[in-house]
Amino acid sequence: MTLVLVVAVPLAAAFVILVAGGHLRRGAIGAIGAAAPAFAFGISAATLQAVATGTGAVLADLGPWLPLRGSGLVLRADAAAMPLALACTAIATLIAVVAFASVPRDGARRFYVALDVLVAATLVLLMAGDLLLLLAAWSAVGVCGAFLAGRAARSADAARDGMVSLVMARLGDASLLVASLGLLALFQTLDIEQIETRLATILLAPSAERALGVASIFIVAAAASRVGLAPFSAWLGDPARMPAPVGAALHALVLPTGIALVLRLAEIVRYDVLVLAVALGGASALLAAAASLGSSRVETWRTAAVLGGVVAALGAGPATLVLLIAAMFVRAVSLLARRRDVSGLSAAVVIAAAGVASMERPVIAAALGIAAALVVLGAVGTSRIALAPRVSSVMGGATRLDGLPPLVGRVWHTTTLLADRGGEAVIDRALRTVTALLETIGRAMGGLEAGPKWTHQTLLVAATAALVAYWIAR
Amino acid sequence: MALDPVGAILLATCGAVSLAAVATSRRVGDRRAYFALHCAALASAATALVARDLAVFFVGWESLLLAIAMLIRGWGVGDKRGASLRLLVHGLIGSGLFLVALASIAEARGTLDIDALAARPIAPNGQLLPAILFLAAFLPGLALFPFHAWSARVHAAAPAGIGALVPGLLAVVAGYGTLRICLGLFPQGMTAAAPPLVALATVGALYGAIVGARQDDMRRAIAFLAVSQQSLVALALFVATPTSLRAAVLLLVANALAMCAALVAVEAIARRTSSFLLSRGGGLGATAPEISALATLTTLAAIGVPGSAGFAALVLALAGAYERYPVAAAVASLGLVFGAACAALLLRRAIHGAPLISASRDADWRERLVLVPLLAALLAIGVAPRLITDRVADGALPAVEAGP
Repeated sequence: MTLVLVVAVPLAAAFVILVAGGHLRRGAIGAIGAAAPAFAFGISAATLQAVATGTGAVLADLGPWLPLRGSGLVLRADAAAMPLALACTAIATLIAVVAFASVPRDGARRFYVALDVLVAATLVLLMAGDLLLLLAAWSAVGVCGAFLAGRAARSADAARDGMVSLVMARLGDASLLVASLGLLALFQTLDIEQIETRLATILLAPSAERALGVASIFIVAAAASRVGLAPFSAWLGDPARMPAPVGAALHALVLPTGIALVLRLAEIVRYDVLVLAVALGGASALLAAAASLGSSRVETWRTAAVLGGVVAALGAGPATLVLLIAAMFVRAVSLLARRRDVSGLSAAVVIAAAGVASMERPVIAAALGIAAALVVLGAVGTSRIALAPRVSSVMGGATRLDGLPPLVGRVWHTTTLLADRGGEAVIDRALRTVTALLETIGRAMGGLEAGPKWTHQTLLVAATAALVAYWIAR
Repeated sequence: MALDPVGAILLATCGAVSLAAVATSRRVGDRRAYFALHCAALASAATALVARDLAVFFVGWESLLLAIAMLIRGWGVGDKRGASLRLLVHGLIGSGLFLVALASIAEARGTLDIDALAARPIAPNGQLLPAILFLAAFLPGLALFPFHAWSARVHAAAPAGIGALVPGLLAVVAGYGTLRICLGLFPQGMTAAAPPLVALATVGALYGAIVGARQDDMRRAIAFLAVSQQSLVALALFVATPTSLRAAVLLLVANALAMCAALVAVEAIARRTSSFLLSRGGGLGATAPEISALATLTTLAAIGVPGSAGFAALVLALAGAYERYPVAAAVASLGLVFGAACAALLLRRAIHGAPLISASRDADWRERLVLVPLLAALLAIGVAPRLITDRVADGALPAVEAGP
């Protein structure tokens, strides 16, 4: 039931504000609206602890939903979803606190309802047990984004942003719906775990592989439209024209759900389509970075560049999560810090955010550096593993938080031997290890000769290096 | 007469919509005649839903058409004469063909009892013609493209208290008739006719939303949105898998409630802006936030956002359609995008922007009384669609084989 509370509390808060908000003072609306994501953060932290120690319930089953095989109101928490859930609820709490003073009175009710429903929908998206519930949550996130974008009743800009946001959200919904229907027809179930198990244990016929490929393309298309990868970048609203909390909510909470979708379904998306997504992400990041030069929509392109870089890091295991969470936090504080004329608790958060935002460049560079290091280590580590029929999952890599790639283990072992014993045998072992490392790096730089897996890794390293270079040079 | 599970669900829906339509009717002249015709319309719909005889069904169907046409003629606005005439002409052409099929079956089988006819079906190669003849009566009722031409005029001429009867009673009975008569009595005929019908329904799902987005009159925009949604009902019926037939029942319920709410909301907006034209209105969000919020929620429910009955019904319908016609289902899913564009344009022009009127009354008790329960019902069905789908057992639905 704890998992249900994570989702139910923000929804209940949204309902209270929607129904009774006309009779509540502005402070009360803000307090309810901010308390809900904070409460959800606490529960998410407890859930993560339970998942990590294996002591708590990680499944909530509220029964069947639609009369389709595998469809139900089931939430599953795992070690890969909970860090993102923590990040989402923490950022939402920050945004809600800043919005105390910065969102106008006549927009506060709308803002907090949209924010709380957005938090609930994102949590369901991260923990949904089947494709239908995932689709519903995905669609709800898009509608909340449209509500946030259409922020002020009198503003023509807001009306346009809301309209474009809703249409683009529904485009993503249609893509994901078609993908879900294709997977249902292929596997006769909507349950995500069952589909992943079948993909891991059976080899598909060529026609089924094609159908899976089509479904994979639709999943990536849905994600691309949400994140704003090329050519969907044009719909991204400019946060500079919005109140700071609205821009932060859109760019730090709504847009990253596209990447969360691919992470969630990484076991299902076909490998070559994932490679395409990586390439698209890298290209979009570089295009967005170039477009931001001299553009008036700097913040928009900055978000597109950062998130494109995260998409380029798909397939890097824990590195992807590190980058995504770092990107969400950095964009949130950077956009929140634009608002300076506030007081009280909101001011404290804004000042802290401004302080962090001033370190945005080194923080991003550090996160990218860590990601690049993890990529190289991961690439070297998996070089000795025979390629399985299906690529090991991104999320699978993310869950192996306590596993180290073999090379790191070898280096550690060698170091301890050196420290403990010394001797020719140890030095010889160290030399062999370094030689193996050099050989592997050489293969990585060769890239294409090693086959599709190395193409993917090479693209990733190249995109990462390009982003690091760009951020340092800005 | 007998009431099957599907009929019971749809009868409850007709009752709810009639109640909402009566509650929203205000300042009507000759109230006795007006509400008598309302009761006649509901009684006619109930007659058709409980009929186990084709002749009784026909009487119910025709009475319903007449009652709605008379309501429009007597209490409509604008071109009410032309609207009621169009409705009657479209309906009576189909009814004429219905009568021809009725007479043929009576002559050939010696009975018009639906259960007896279902127990001894016509030979498969002789089912296509009667299926088409009966369907000709129901396709205009479902406002399927290209038999939808009457719909926009009727909605433009009918106040919400009358316009709600079109999706709430007429479309519901048309859907039930397609299910019970066309699919129940002539399954092989419907299978043979399915491909072009599925194509028409798919086109209609997109056409309605695209054309609706270009309307200046809010009522016409809702009418075309209803054409789009009803086309999905038709798609689910023509595909005829168990999943899609359940979805068709759920969609009929969802559309009836959502369109009724949308028409009431649109009339509430027009009451404050003094016009149904979007070009003469706008900015209502600043002056009447509650009615704007209610209008936004009803419009979103009408296009099937998550949490609403429309979403559950839409997904179920497309899942059922994908089993036999995957391309049609994929194309029909684009209706999500165009429907969103239609809804977004409607809301943007009606609610956003600088207010053209300095002050507006916000929602009154009558509008809340109608809209809040309808929205609550849509939410309840959206969260727990099994309240309806579980009551429709496989045995209650006609079994239709897939085509070659």
